[in-house]
Amino acid sequence: MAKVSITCFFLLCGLFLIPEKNSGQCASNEFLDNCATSLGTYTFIKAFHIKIKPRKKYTIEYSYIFSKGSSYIIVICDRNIEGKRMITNLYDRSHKLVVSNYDKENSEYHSYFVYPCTATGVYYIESYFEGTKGGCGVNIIGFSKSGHNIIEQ
Amino acid sequence: MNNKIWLFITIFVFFLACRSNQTKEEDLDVNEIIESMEDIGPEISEETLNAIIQSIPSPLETASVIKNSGVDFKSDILNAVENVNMYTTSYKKAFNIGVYGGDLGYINMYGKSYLALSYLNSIKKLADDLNVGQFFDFALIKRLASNRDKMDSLIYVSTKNFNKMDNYLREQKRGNLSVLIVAGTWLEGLYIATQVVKEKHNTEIFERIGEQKMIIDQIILILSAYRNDIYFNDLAEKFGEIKKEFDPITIEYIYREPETKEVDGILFIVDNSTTEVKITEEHIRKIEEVTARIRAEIILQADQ
Repeated sequence: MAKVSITCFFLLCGLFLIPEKNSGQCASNEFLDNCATSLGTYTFIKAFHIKIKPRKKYTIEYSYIFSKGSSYIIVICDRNIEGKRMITNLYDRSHKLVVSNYDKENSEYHSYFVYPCTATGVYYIESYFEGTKGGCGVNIIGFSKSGHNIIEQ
Repeated sequence: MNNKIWLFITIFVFFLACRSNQTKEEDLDVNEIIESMEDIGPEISEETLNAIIQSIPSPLETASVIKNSGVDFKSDILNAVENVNMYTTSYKKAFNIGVYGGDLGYINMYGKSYLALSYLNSIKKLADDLNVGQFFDFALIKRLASNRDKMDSLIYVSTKNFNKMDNYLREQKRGNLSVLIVAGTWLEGLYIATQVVKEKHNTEIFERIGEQKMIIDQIILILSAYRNDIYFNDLAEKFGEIKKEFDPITIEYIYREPETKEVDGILFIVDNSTTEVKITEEHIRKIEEVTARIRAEIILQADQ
């Protein structure tokens, strides 16, 4: 019994002392730096960290003002777990879908897309995870004064 | 046996109590800092406030348009780094972190790494005074600034540091300082753009200035969220004067159906919608005048 008590004590202590490794992974510097390599020649602007708990809020939406004449890249970076991939949709000011990183027809995920902006205004970036299991990831926005491709793998 | 269980529970409760005390001590420091910042709650929800702050475009974007126009870099239009010692209140420090941040965007776009380091130094000093200097990794920044080939990395690191500081301030319920940083950055970006076109007409910069009409409304909204504070109220009025000069400008949105194209199996969506900014040289002249005057009133007057 003494051994069980001591073991329980150290296990409980451990729970308080060890940081939440899993939840911290997607918010870490290293995670962001790794994902940001996909920006290529685009200039980094912002990173929107996405963390959705299972059975909680289903989607997270941010807005950003895009400017006409600039191309924007959105890098969609998750922990690459099958069945828990992050889906990111871009909507225009009227909430009409402009582009998504998920191609429903071919069931394909793209790790980034590029949007050449032709109309300045508010755009909405919505993210969620496959199913309702939740997950964490990051959307990174970069811009360039040139660029044309809208979706690439 | 029961004694052992009680001993375990006692040790565990004691352990929790120790942790709890430690947290309280840490919280106390943060609370003292927050109090000294004359922190006040916003009059709009924090969620709305955060959403607006996040949506404001980066100063790098306008700086990029200026650089692409072929206009030479002008260091004399920037807020001098020596002015950093003039800012003694937490509000002025926060506002001028934003102003120097706007300058830094312009400097970085032109690849002036030696200047970038000086401006980052001033930003770090002000940030240290607000207890948020820890987000600036100066050893790394110095290393990157010493190598012109690392300009992209310098932009990435400094933008990342700025974003982290902003997130931290909002998490710590010091969103009022975040609002000031955003307002300072925006004002400096507008000032630089209007100074640049004073000397060289450029349609794209004209349009980019006109588009600020959409953003100034958002800036005034977040400043007004703290209007019970005299500093914010005064700032909102000053920005209101700038807004007046944007009123005659019109931005027309023309919606056209997007087209979908497939090239080599890759889906391309071509957005045919557009915006047209109706802005004249006279509008620009008036915006330039009021922006220069307001900026000088805010950043060049010593604290009383």
